[in-house]
Amino acid sequence: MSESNEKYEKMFRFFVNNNCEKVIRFISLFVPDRLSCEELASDVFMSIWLNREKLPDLNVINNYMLTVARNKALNYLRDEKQETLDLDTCTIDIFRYTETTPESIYISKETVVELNKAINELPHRTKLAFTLVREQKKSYKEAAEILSVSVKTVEKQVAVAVEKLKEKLRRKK
Amino acid sequence: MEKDFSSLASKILSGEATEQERETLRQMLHESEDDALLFNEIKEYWDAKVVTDRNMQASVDEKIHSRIKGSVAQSRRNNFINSFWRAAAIFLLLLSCGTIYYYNAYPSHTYMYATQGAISDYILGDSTKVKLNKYSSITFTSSFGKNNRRVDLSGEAYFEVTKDAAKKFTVRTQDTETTVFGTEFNVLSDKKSKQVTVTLSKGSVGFEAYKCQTLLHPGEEIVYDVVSGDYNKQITDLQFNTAWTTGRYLYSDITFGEFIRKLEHIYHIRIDIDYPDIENKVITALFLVERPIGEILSALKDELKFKYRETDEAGIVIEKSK
Repeated sequence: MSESNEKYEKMFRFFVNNNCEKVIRFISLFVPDRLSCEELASDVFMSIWLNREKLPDLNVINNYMLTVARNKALNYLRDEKQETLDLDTCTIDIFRYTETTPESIYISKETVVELNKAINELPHRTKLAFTLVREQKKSYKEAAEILSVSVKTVEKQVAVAVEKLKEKLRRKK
Repeated sequence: MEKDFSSLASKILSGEATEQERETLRQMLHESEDDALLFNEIKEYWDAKVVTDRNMQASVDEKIHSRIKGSVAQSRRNNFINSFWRAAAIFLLLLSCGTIYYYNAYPSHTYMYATQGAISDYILGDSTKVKLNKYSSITFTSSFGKNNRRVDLSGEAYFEVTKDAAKKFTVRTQDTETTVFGTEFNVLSDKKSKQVTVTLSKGSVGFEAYKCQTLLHPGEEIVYDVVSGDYNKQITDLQFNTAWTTGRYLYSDITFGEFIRKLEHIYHIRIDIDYPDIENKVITALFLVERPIGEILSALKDELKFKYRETDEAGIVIEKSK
């Protein structure tokens, strides 16, 4: 028993290694505080670890993982009794703790900063949909499931974000 | 009806566009240079890598590791007790419902804190502070703080023990016991060289092992050889032995060979020296804990005229440079 456990543990560590960034990134969209963010991310992985026997293969639990992350983050905000529970008025900077590196053919690093700022001005739900589709490479359908909204909504939100980018870039000229 | 730029572009970037939509955008970009440039700019922003702070990742990884270690220890205990109760039947269901109460009822549940590639701080039940060096672990049972304060150590740790004259605090490692009532000290248990080094910052500690029973005073350290039972007590410069707790490593006037053995221990990596003359050169080195090993070696390589390369087994070989 202990040998297979060890083997699974190794696999799981590998899984954590591969997905850590995704989960931290996703939780940081809700929770501004760095330490809480780390704590919640480790909670997400622990709940996967503890439920390992009930879950399908580690490879296919990607969406489940982000759904758990969302719930943990929202529960945390609820417990903290923060007003930010209303996702639409949430004003946290979604690019905190990150670095965005463009290829610098068409746009400069400075432009990226400005575009990040523009994205940050969007309603929170729009930011979430945009990040899931853009960074986490989710399909509209997957993003819709994670955020419990309709596919049409995600589609509209991503378009709004792109529109915002367009405005910003046009105004620069 | 012409679909607008943003909704088309967003669908294409998301990989959700139909063939027809792709064709429409292609047309649009073909007709207008402005739109084409704009699309390229947005696409570059879209594709740009967004990287999360590495330190946060490392910290989460660390947390998971120690929590899993804890839960594995729990489940082993769990299995043992389960089979015991299965024989006695009846209460099993009730018990597995209330795991937490259940553990409290069984004093010998084991906890473990373990680190990988980063130093970590822990606070024990008696508010004793433990700073655990890389690749180290401490284990203790749930009776910790009740009738004893005993931990098992593997690797290296710095302890700031909360005073409790009634209950001594004991660190066990490689068949040695270091006992204190309330003080600050460092224990380094090196399994490779079979040595245990205890360094005392404040107060007094008792050190006990086979053929050895002695008391240390502040500023003293003892180096005990586990195999022979030989030991050596000496006045030490505290800064050197405890520098790692402040995120630095400091080695003064040691030979290169010794230094490399320390690096092997710190970085958990095998380093072979294929350049005998270099081993006895004396060096002094100060470096930060989180620097990668390559950086440390490359800082020394010109002065000492060596080169190094990685082996297939993820070790390092040091050779004479031409």
